[in-house]
Parts: sequence; structure tokens; C-alpha cells
Amino acid sequence: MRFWALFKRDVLVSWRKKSNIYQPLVFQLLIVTMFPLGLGAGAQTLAKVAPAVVWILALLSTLITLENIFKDDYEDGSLDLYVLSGMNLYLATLSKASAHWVTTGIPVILFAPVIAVLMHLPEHTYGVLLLSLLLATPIFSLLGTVGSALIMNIRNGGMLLSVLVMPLLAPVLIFGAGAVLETSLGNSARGHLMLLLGCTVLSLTLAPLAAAAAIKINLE
Amino acid sequence: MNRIVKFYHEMGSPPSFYRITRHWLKPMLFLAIVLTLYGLIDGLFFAPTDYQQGDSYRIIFVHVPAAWMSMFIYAIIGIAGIITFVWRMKVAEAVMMACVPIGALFTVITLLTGMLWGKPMWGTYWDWDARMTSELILLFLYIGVMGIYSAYEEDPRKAARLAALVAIIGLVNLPIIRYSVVWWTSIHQGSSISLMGGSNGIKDWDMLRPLLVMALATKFYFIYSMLSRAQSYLLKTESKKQWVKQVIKKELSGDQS
Amino acid sequence: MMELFDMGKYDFYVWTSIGVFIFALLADFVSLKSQSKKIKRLIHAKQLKTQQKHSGDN
Repeated sequence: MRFWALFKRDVLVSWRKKSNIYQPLVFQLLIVTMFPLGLGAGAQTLAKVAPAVVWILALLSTLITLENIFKDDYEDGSLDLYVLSGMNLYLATLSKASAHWVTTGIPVILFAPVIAVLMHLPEHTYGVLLLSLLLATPIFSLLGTVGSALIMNIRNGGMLLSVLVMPLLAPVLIFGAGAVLETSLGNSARGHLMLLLGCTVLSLTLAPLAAAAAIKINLE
Repeated sequence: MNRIVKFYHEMGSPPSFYRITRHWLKPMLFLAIVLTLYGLIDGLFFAPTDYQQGDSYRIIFVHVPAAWMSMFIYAIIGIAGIITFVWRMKVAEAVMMACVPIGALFTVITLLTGMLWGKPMWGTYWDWDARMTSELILLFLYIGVMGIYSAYEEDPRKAARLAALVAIIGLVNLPIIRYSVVWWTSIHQGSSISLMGGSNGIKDWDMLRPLLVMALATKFYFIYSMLSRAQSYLLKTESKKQWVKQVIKKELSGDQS
Repeated sequence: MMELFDMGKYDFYVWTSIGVFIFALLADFVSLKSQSKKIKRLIHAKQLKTQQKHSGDN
């Protein structure tokens, strides 16, 4: 029950703030404009790097939202309350990650086709693109809770969070962007997507454990 | 058996750890220097020239031992991290944090010497092959452990426990990263000339000997560097304890005489 | 003597690698020595301070 209460509250807070939701999208739009300006506007050139660009933009735009997952709760003391009230921290972080995914992951997935159009990504890859992002955005949110829990009482922790989370996301990028790339080359992306699914399951089970441990240490 | 148990317990307490390992520093450093000198002279001047790679293969005598150490030390950090995290052992904390600088350094040496080997062999300083890429990611993992510790430095115990957590997360992820990178290179490019496999690995004893000697030398230097930093760490974090006062008094008076 | 140091056309790469290796380990050695010295001095200075305080109180 508490899981849903916390989840609902977090989604509502994000929804009221709005900036949490549109910030990553504006960021993606800004950066994607830079690519034709830097690379040249030829559709062929852009299509070649499109799988990587669409994917890396989804990743980076999520990364900038991670820092605050636990920060507000830590600063106003509600995190202490969860712990004191005996709430299961595993479920609490899982709920945090779900709320983050709903308010950041889903908009990023829905926005991906826009970026894909701007980058001339071949149309037959859209299905795989959406599927790969659907599998990967939960990983961003889950590993994000770990990173955010580690840095929640550091003032400028954004850079450190990137250093901590990025290496862990390397396999996700390899499988995810690889899936889109293989499809655009006319190959099957089945293997990539299966491995990506493996990463999703693994982080679903392990990441909340790590985040809960980090919270416990930080609140001691 | 009793002596081993006793030794184990002694190594767990900071004062006896300090007292015991203080005497290991000089022999370790001595062995490291002698073996490095022997290994480098043997490897550079006496080992036969490789028939495929010419003399450029001699970079192996610093590159491969450094690469072995970079991974070995991260494994030790992970193990010490688990001990720190589960049992909150102070000596494990000290060992873990003492491993980080020397491990990161060996990773940098591996990358730089790998680049210097890549230029004559691949024609470019950097190639995104599986080994180079995963070594670079390993460097990021080291930087992460260092970064989280220094961010919480005012509270060393919390810093150490968080660093231990980061190290454990890295240790769990390392096989996945490694596997994914190998898989990624295997589909995107034909196999490039492997640095090690240029002539199907090293078979000649005259080539293998300096390599093994250098591997030993780096191990001894690692032990020296790690113990020395761990001792400093313990002095610093326990500076208000009685044993530290006695140690300082003794060592400073020893210096003056 | 000079031909001993000759690494075919690979002089630069081999000797720079050895240089990087030795320089890095020397840098580590210097840094750990200075760190240990600094910490010992700091603790010693603190001890002297507390001793003076105590003698001042008496």
C-alpha cells in the first residue's frame, strides 16, 4: 500500500512542477539541432549516425534529471521519516524509480520519434527504437536512484553522478543503440534486445538493493 | 593453525596491523626495485627480437604487468569493499582506499603504453578494441571510487562505506561491461592485430622470463605502495587514539637520533 | 654500446613506454612519502598543541 502512496505522491509532485517533464525534451531538441549544424545537413550523413544520436540523447537527457530523485526528500527530512516508519527501503527506492520512469522515461520514449525524424533515422527502425527505449529507460531510472542515493547530500553532485552511472550504462548503450543500428543495416536485432532485456531484469532486482544500502549509509 | 588465527586477528586491529606491516615496507620496496631492474634489463637487452613485431613487442614487459595489476587491484578493492561494507573493519577500509591510487595509476600506465604500442602495430594511437575500451571504463570505475570518497571526506567512515558500496557495484558490473564490450567489438570490426597474439602469444622462455619477473616486481611495488598508504590512512583516521601518539613519538625521536 | 639501445625503428615507442612506467611509479613513490610525512607532522603538531594547553591550564 505504501508503495502506491509514495509512487502517487512522487508522480503528482513531478507533474505539478512540470519542468521535470519538459526539461529533458527541450534539452534533446537543443542538442539535436547542433548535429546538422556541425555535421552538415545531408540526410545520408545524418542517417548514418542517427541510431547513436537518438539513443545518446535519450540517455543524456535522462542523466540530467537523476540528481534530484532523492535530494528534495533528503533535504526536507521525509527520507528520514520513511526509514523511521519502518518502510522497506527496497520498495521505497523501487517506487521512486517507477515514479521517475513515469515522469521522465515515458516522455523520453514518446519524444524519441521526433528526434528520429529530425535525424533522418530510417523509418523501418522506429519499432525497434521504441522497444529498445522501453526496455532501457527503466534501467536509467533504476541506476539513477542508485547514483542519486549516493550523492544526495553533496552540493554539486551532478558530475560525480555521471562518473558513477555512465560506466554502468555502457552495456545498455551497446545493446540498445546496437539494436537500432543493426535494424537500420537490415540485420536482426533479436540478440541485442534479448541482452537488453537481461540488463533490465538484472537492474530491476539489484539496483534497489544498492540504492537502499546507499540511503542507509547516508542517513546514519 | 593457532598462529594463523592469531595473525588474522592481529591484522584486523589497526595498531597491530601498523606494527606488523611497518617492517614489511623496506623488503618489499627492495624486491620491487631489484626485480624491476633485472626484468627491464633482461627484457630490453637480452630477450630475443620477435620475428613479427620486431623490437616493438618489448613494450609488453611494462604493458602487460601493468594491465594485470590494474585488474587484480580492482578485485582487491572489491573484496576489501565487501569486508568494509559487511563487517565495518577499519583495516579493510584502509586497504581499500590505499589500493585506489596505485590501481588507477597502473590503469593509466596500461592505457598509455597500449597507445604507444598501438601506433607501430595498428598505425594509430587509439583503437576502440575490446581491451583498450574496457581498460578505459575500468579507469572510470577507479575515478568513481575516488570521487565518492573525496566528496564525503569530512566524514571518513561514511566516505569509506559509500566508496565500498561503489566498488562493489563496480565489481558486479565489471563482467557485464567486459562481456558487452567484447561482444560489441566482435560484431563491428574484423579482428584487429591483438597485441598479445601477434605471434600466438609468447612461448619462448627467454621472452617469458622477463615478463614474469616484471609481473612479480609490480606486485611487490603494489604491496609496498598499498601498505604505506594504508598506514598513513590509519594514522590519519585514528589520530586521536593512544597508539598513534606513541607511534609518532617513537618515530620522530628515531628520526632525530 | 649504442646498438644496445637501438630498437630498430621503434626507439621512440619502446623508450617512451619504459619512461611512462618508471615516471608513474616514481611519482607514486614521491606522493606517498610526502603524504605520510605530512600526516605525521600534522599529528605531531596537534599533540604539541594539546600538551601546551594542558601545561597552560596547570
